[in-house]
Amino acid sequence: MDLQKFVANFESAIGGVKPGSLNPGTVFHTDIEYWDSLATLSVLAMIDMEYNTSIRADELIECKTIEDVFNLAISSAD
Amino acid sequence: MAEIKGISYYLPKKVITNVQLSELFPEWSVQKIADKVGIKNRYIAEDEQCASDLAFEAANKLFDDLKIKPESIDFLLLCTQSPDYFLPTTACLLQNRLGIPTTAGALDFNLGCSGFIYGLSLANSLIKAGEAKNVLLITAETYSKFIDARDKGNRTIFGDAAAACLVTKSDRDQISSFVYGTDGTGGQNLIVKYGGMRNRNAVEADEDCLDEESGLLHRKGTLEMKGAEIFNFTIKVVPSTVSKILDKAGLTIDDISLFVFHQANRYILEHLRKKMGIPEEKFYYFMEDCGNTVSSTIPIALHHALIEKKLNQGDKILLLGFGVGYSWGGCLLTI
Repeated sequence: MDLQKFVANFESAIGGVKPGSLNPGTVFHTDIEYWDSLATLSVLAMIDMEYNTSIRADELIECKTIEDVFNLAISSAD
Repeated sequence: MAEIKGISYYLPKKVITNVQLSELFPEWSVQKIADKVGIKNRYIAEDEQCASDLAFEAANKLFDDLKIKPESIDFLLLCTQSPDYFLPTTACLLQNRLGIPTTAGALDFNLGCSGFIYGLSLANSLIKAGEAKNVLLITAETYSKFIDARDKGNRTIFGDAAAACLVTKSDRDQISSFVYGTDGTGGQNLIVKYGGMRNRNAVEADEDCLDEESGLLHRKGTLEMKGAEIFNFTIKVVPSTVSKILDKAGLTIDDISLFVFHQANRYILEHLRKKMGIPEEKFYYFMEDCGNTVSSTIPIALHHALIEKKLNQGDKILLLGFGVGYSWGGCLLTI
């Protein structure tokens, strides 16, 4: 699993952000305008579709940065 | 053997549009959300209008549409999670209001989004066992009464409705290949915690609490839904349940003419459709005008699909319901 590719997938999943505007350290709950419950669903859907794994919703909500989500996805795929 | 003779439904008169929701919640991107979830209108029962009132309208419409009399019904099944009273059983009150004979059996069963499938299974089984000939299966829900006025998300998704379906004795086996599933570990993820016997403190039920997922306040006694957890549940069970139904019937996705799933919301369904590789033209949507009506979404969608889609005799429709409980189930219908 590649971190840069994951960030790009994250961007395209939630939509409404400029490509390349997010990075692994982005604190998505606060840095992304209009972060909402549908954005959470979009990230879960992306991880399911692109990486064929799922992470727990409560663990995703506790993540701060996109890299935290990436690490969670890696550990669930193992 | 049994078949579905007809489906009719009723929506309350009061409509909540996306424009109205935007006015109520200017900070809430209702239009954006509605575009993604695929809902424009949802119909809401009046304060004095209960599940039995919606059920009554739907059943009478079915009697008119099929030109049958209530006297012909020998079993009434009512699926609801918002009954008029704890007791008596709402189906018993409906028997009287509808003029169904006192010799008929009648019962309520408490299921949500999987309810229509379980009702079909019960109706099918009653007929196959020779216990009934004409089963009236009604799904009726007024979830709006459970939802906090400040709960933008659930107010966007859910609508009230009732659907009535007649399942009759037949010389052909139209309803088959049932698969069921239950997982109570998900019970807390879609719940109304107060109002039953577990939590009876009405003062506490009126206190505010914070929903961690949405960051919104709601009264403790209102509907709580962890949408992201529900999403994870659906991506886990829906594809495997579809496979089990197909395996049971010895069929593949290519053999199915139409897939009619519980109309949870368009975003979830579209993800599931793509994940399973189901072609768009075989996947039916009907939620734009009425939202997620819980146990009535499948019969309402099926009603419209049977009119709109030019299905031929022998074509197969795969029905699948999933949600609160967790509970899920699916089956095949042969046209």
